[in-house]
Amino acid sequence: MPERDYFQMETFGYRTRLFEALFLAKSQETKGLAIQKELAGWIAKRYTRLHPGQPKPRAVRFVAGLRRANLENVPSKRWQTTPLESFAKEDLYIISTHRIAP
Amino acid sequence: MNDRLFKNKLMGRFIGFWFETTDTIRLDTFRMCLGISILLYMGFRWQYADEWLTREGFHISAQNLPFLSMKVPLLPLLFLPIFGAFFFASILALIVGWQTRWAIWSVWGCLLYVTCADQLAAFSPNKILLAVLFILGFAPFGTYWSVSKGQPQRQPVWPVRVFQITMIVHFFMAGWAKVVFGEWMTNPLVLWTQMHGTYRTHFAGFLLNLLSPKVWTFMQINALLVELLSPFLFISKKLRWLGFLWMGSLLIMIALTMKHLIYFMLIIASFFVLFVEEDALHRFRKSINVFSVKRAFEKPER
Repeated sequence: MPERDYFQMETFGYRTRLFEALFLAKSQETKGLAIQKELAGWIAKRYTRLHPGQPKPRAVRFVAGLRRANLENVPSKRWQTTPLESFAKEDLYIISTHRIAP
Repeated sequence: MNDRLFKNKLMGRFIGFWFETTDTIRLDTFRMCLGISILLYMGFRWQYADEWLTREGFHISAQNLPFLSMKVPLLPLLFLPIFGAFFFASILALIVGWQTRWAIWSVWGCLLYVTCADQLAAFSPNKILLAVLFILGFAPFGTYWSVSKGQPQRQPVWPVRVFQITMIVHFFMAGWAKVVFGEWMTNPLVLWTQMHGTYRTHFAGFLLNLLSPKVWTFMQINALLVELLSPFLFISKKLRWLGFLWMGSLLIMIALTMKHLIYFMLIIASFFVLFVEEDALHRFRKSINVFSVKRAFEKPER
């Protein structure tokens, strides 16, 4: 899903609000997961609001992609989010999956 | 006897260090610079105020709040402009020194509210500003850079000392944390790798292509050194010019290569004012008065 539909606030430092919501309280795993569950519920509600004709989401999955800096492929412009499809399978990992009550 | 004399002398110097009276020009200039930094920072953040302060954005429930357990009610969308008007008017009052004490506490209150309303959006600047404004709220100040007229133009030096120490500790701990927790001592490409991250600006991308990794390693060592040496660079009056130049260039580099960090750098750079000689600040103020604001910032009798 396009991040800008859900989190408009731009990166500050290296963090967006979405990043914070997913990774804060990492040292407190239970709280971290509870926050992610709340976030999934909120995203599902907002998705339904933004796409009134579409079926309601049954689950929300947070996926992160790993990008390696390497000397052969140095970027020349500002940061741009890489589409998930461009990542190799081994560079993707699931943060968490949450079922949404109908 | 000698021992007692020595102790008395030491105590006298300690009391003098914290409580001698000083011209208010440094703290007044700091207050104005900090106000301008807050205005720019909050002006940038205000673009997203509906996401940040109303139910339009995601907010964590009271039982799962990560840092502060204080949950404040969010603003109704219609009330947002009213809150914004009050907040920005308070910041402007802080800059021009109108009802300064009220202005400081109003900005502090608004900042505390927005920090608690959205802990996801409250980064280091919020926390630093809350602490600084809290101390500033109790500090005596003068009427330089101020639309208010009044006496006296002298104050005890303790607020200046507190902020000076804050800046030095901040810089030193930034370096210390890199040495103890990070890979800065073992990996020569830490800075180079960081430049690839989400905060990368066009200029950073340009530099990544222009400069070899060895130059980035040099800059990495340079950044670490200036942070670790900051106590010497800023405490010693003789080395201060080097501190301004060296640390100043690091702040400019961060502002240019890391997206939106310019606001944080401006807040930190405001602290530099507290290390500038009073005469230099008076000269600067007079040079500004040459232009249009002479009447508003007219210098009261000293």
